[in-house]
Amino acid sequence: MFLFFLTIIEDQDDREYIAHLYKKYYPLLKKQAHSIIWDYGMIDDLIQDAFLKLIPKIPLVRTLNDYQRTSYIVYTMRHVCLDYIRKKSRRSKHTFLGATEDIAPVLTATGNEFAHIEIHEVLEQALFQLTERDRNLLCFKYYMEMTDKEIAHLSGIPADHVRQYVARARRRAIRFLSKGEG
Amino acid sequence: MSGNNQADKKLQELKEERRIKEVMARFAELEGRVFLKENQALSQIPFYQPSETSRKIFLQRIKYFT
Repeated sequence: MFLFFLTIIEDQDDREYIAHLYKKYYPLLKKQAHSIIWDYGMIDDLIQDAFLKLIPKIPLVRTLNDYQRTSYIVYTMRHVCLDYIRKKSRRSKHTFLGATEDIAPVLTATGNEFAHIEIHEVLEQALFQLTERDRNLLCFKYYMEMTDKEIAHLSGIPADHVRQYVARARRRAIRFLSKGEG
Repeated sequence: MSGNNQADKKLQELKEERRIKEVMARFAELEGRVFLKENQALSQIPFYQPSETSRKIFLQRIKYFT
């Protein structure tokens, strides 16, 4: 009974936390979603879907610092938009043959956006040398902590091959990182 | 010998995974700085605020989320 009570309190706390994040990040997500979807009529629903997707990830989100949390929420928004585009193209019977990188990159910062930040130069250069798909795969796997099945759904890579694709992307990233440090 | 190779390979893989996790977290932090700054600016613009109806619908959705 006591444990059950604690669970309810935790859920209420989680709901309040998500409501707080919704209010705080709505402006940024509206802009981000529009840059992918170009349809303000759909954006409200997609923003809400993104925050509902975040609920199971609350324990992870709570461990992130303010900057990392912001990125995590933006990346989630982009995934939801990506998923929406995929479903929409399926509905309209147009086969989408490209990879994730062709529709919406998850990590999109450019060197210029970070021009004022002098730290982590090696890191940035290494990541920018990767293809958009490699960056997305590494982000899905090692930052968003998605399962292979989730990655397969988003990237269009067969689930059985995700591990292999991620391993290759990881090796390429390590190579670029080592080169940058050398 | 083959067992040792396998163990070495696994260890190497774990090291690489840990390093990439750190790198991705640092990269996300850098992006987050830019995003947060942008969010602060957008928050001043009424167009980028959720409507009262949207906010209420969202609160209902999370209330019944399982």
